[in-house]
Amino acid sequence: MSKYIIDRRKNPKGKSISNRQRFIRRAKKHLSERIHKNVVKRSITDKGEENISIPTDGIQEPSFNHDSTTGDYDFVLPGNKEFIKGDTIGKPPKGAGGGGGGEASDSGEGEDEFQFSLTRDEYLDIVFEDLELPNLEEKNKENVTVWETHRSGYTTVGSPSQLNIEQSMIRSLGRRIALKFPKQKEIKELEKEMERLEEEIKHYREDIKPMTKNRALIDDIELQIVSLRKRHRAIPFIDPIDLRFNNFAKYPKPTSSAVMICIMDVSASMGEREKELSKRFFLLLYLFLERKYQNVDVIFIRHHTEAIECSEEEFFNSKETGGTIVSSGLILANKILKERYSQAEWNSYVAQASDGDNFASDLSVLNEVLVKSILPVVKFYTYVEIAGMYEQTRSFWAAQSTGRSSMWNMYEELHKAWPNLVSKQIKEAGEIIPVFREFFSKVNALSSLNKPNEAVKEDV
Amino acid sequence: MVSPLYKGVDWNFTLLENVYAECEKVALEELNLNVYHNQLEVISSEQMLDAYASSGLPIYYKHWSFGKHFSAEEQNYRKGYTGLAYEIVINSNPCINYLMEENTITTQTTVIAHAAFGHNHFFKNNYLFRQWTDASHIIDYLVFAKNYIAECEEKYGKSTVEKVLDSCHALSKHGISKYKRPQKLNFFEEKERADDRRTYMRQIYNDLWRTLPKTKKQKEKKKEVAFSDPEENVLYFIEKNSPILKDWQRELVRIVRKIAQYFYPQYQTKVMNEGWATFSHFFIMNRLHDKGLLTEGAMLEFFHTHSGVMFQPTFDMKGYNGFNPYYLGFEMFRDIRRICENPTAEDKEWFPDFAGGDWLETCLNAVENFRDESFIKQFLSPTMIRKMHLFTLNNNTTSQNYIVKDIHNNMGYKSIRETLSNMYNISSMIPDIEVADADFTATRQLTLRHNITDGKLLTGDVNEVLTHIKRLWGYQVKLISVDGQSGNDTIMKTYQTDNIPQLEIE
Repeated sequence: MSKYIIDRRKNPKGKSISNRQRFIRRAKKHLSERIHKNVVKRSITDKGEENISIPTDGIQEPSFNHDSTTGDYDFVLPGNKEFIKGDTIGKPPKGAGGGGGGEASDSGEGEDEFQFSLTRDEYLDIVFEDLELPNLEEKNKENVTVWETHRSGYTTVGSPSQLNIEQSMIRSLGRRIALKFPKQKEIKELEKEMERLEEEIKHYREDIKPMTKNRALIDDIELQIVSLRKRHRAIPFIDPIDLRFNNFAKYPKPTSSAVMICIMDVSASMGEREKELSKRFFLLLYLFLERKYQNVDVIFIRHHTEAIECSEEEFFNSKETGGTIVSSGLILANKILKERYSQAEWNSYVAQASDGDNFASDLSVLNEVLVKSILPVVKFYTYVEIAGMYEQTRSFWAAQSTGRSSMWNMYEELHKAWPNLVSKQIKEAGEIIPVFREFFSKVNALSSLNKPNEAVKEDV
Repeated sequence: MVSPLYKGVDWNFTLLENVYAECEKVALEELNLNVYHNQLEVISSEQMLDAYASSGLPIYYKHWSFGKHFSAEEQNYRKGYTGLAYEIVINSNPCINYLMEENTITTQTTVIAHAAFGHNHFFKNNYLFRQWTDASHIIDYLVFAKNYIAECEEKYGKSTVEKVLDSCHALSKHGISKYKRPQKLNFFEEKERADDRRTYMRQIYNDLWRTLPKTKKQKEKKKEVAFSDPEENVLYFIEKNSPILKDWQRELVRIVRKIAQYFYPQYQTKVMNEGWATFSHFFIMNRLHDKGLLTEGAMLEFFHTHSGVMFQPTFDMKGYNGFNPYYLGFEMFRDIRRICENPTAEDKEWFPDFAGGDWLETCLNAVENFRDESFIKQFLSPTMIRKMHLFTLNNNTTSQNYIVKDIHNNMGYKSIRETLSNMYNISSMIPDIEVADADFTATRQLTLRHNITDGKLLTGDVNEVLTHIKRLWGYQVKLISVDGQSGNDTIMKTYQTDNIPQLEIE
């Protein structure tokens, strides 16, 4: 008896990926709902997977099954200890669980939620679905054209590595047919025929007539063969004119370069919770930009009484803190925009997060920077105010009775004149993604389009 | 003195070959097994997960539901709720055995003895498998199915194909002809048939035909198609008679039911199949040890694995989830051997035909000619009932209490055996549903009949399944649950698709 041992470990794994994608597509509606509304309790930077459960509606596979809560039937169980014939056992109050439920529980009914894990990529894809940077314009940077290479037909010259065999052979075949390139088979057949005739001559030695006839035939065939051979030699199987190479052409690629300036308040009033929330917001923003756009510069600014441009690493991890002058961050942002990112070439965006706790005297400075310099040039300005927790809100802001900071009020006021400035409050982690999606949803981008563009033109 | 095959835990390919050769000697010469050629394939754990999602088949068409199962299995595995199976074996010729690379050599030996010989022998010899499945052609057929469905997806769109498959899957358990033996699968014929039909349709296509008035004969012919006998194979009936399905859609229905048919024997022989495989590996491992081919350490590891698989919780334990087929089957085969070798007076009274006989012959006969239901009815001995402390409960769902009907005593043995055997009856596992009527001439309503078993009604899924049937049938579908136990049929419940939303294929 024979056997084969095969090592399949090298075979591609992930045969189920395609099925899994189909499944995710199918469950998409529920997944988006769950992710967008509920599951933001964890930090998004966590590597690894997102556990998620979704209602089975839409992904269930119904089939006819026995309902074991109906009927009258006997079943056998193992492990009797104390029962004797005729004993009665009270049923557990709900369902058929517990004592006698073994047989009943296998049908899979009552399965309301289906639980599985999403990979980080799958998760982020859904989180960032339908989001975009609002008002993004295509702007070509001077002197810097980005080229893209596309396939574009075939050429007669090219490097051997680009030789297109199929196209070349098509032409070779066509040429050979046109030039009546003799087939090897034809020649072989003639040669065979000749041999046969020679045989005949041997056979009919006595008889003169067929011999002369054969001789004539043989001569004829010989001539044919010679001419065919000649042709065969003269016509190459593949000729340089047959060769075709894959051609690539370069096209200038319209680029839309954008710069996103992230301004985070790290003053002392920003507690652990506030910082955590704003960092989460910025992380989400960062991931979003990284995933969706190739030509986006991200500038990180942290400020207390003074503002510093810092690296991504410092931005998310530094512990430095101090008093609060919000305008300092904006002044620095403005400086960076003016110096490095010209309006003609860049789409500029600003995202700011703060707890709204600012010196009253700074508000006017802030207002001026915003109205005079920043708002006219940026495509979109988002302000996230990390609101205090519920108890805090009451005690701390009670005096002002509005429950909102003066900065918030100022931004609200500005929004009326500048629709490209949008502000939102965040109280808890669960609100981050909804707020984020509101900021960057495609619909939102359209609604706040008009005015800032005019402003830009005037400014330029 | 024979030296052991190996020491330590690591395996390599030469070692696998040696182990296989030794197992084969015992299996063929001492257990008299008769097996298909074996093909051992070493796979990684990821590949094992992949294999899970397609019911263990090496090739399967694409469908989201397999992705769903895969996601669930993956979640459970990654979280450590469940381990992976040590092996998967496919009823094909040659018989494909998957061995996981993480297994130790002892586990590999056990798996080879279990799957490559135990299961393999069962597949080749059990009457259900012999009659209902076609081991030589299944892989070819799966290739055909996969390609055909992929082709359909390209031609008609993924979502359309998906809808048809969804509806077919809902009925896959009712796509089996229980009494009529299926034709042998033949990949080439199937493909040719499908191609021929398509070519023929193309050749005879002439738009003018459509405009010709119908002759009397044709009209009459249409009327003649009327319902004759009840059909238990709902999918077959739909494939042949649905007024709305297109040819390629009928082919999909056919594919689903052909594959369902292939699995049909598996859930009717779970206890026997696993029991026999376990019995085989237990026998082979012990023989290898007797011959000095396995070390004491290897045997200890084997016993550990073996007893892990064999655990049967009692009904009042937390993890109780019905009978463990490995345990029940294995113990029953062992019991048969005991009855043959050391029969007691009781055994002689219960099993006069084989008590004291040849144990191997009896076991092989059981493997060949029984399925779970009949196997238990025939071979479950009082000794086993006592050993497992089996007892019967009656569940009258209208009453507040279970009643203990029988326990492991003289009065109870027969009834317990009967009840347990009944639990493995196919109609206890899958509702008995058949096509009762189809009105071809007027309303085109399809009527299904559910023959109630033990008074059990259907679960709430009914309406959804009916919607799926309606999608394939195109017209109203009605289902009646009929209780025929008392001699005359009483309709317990009627379901109708009038009120449920319609699903369309396109």
